[in-house]
Amino acid sequence: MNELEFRKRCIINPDDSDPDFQSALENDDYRRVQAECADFDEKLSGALRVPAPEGLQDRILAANRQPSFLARWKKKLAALTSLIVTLVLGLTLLLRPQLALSDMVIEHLYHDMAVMYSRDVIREEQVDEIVSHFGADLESSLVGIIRFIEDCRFADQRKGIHLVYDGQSGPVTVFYIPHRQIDRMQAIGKEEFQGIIFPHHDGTMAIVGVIGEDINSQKSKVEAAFNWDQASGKS
Amino acid sequence: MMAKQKRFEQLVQRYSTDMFRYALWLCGNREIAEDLVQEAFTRAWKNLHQLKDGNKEKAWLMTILRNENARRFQRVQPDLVDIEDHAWSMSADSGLEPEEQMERRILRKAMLDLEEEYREPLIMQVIHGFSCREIAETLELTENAVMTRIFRAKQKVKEALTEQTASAMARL
Repeated sequence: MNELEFRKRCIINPDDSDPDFQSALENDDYRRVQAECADFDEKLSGALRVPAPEGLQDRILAANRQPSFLARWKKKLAALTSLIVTLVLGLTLLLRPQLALSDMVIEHLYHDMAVMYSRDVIREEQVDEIVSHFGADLESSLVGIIRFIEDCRFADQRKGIHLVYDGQSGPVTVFYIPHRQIDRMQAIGKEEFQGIIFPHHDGTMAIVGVIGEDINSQKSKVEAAFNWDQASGKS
Repeated sequence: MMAKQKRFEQLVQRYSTDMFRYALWLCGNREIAEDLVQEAFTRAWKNLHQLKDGNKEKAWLMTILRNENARRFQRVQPDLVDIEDHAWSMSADSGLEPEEQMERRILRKAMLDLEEEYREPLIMQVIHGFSCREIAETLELTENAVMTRIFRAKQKVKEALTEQTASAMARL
């Protein structure tokens, strides 16, 4: 190995383990060159070996940690809770149409609150005109004096009958919403109003009176008054 | 599961400091270097199953770090702060004589002035003690190319050290 070659290799790696390089180190001059190169590498290494930021290892480990046994169970528990919540929510949503219908009835009652205090007397022809649109006939004498009747649009945009007549304790409101059925009777009410909502014909009927009104008795009257055997519904 | 955690902890303990140094001399900024190391170890954690050969863990980590650095450049080219502006370099050399401190500053500056193709193999050799063959494998170069680059890199740093030391001495 000539001097030029030795110097080059010595600069690249003063600790070269190649046998030719090692045997060249028997020469004092070469050994001195090797020591100089090793010294330079040492200085360079010292300059580059700067300290790492404090806590670096901890931060890396904290960011990449295997979840503990407890944490894994917590994760499973969270998944289970989420499943239960989903199921409960699903069931609630399944039951929701009935609740929504009763809410809708109360909402409409409050929206048209003024008609409950009407003292108008609706003629039988007017009543017939409205109820016939829904395929029914109403024997008004069976319920009492009718103070209001309209074919109203409810919150779900479905048209139905809105009727008010004089009950025993005050105005009684009847709603009939066609083509939307509930599966059983429910009590409804808000503030001074109480009533029931129940399946009737091909839809749902609601009867609401003031507190103290005998709603069951009114239900019997209303059901007897409505006759659905006549012409098929036009609604 | 715990074996993975343990193995990862060993990697962090053994290599995080040198990984940080490598990242620092690649990018010249301590904050970015720490981010790079964190990101590299996060990727290493996710892909630990790929590390089959225990003898190549250092090279494997290095490759991940280099890839993270390349991604960083794809995302954004930050304005790097001169490494000598940081107070840490003063504290790191606090026990040294003023001449040695000056020498280190010159060497660091000269390192950062090197083009990356020269700087990178030199860092790998000086900090990680990689052989030219290992550097060649990691950088996908021939061994001769690596030797040439290290030779030129050291020559340039040495020239800078000689020139700037002489210039500093002349000013005294």
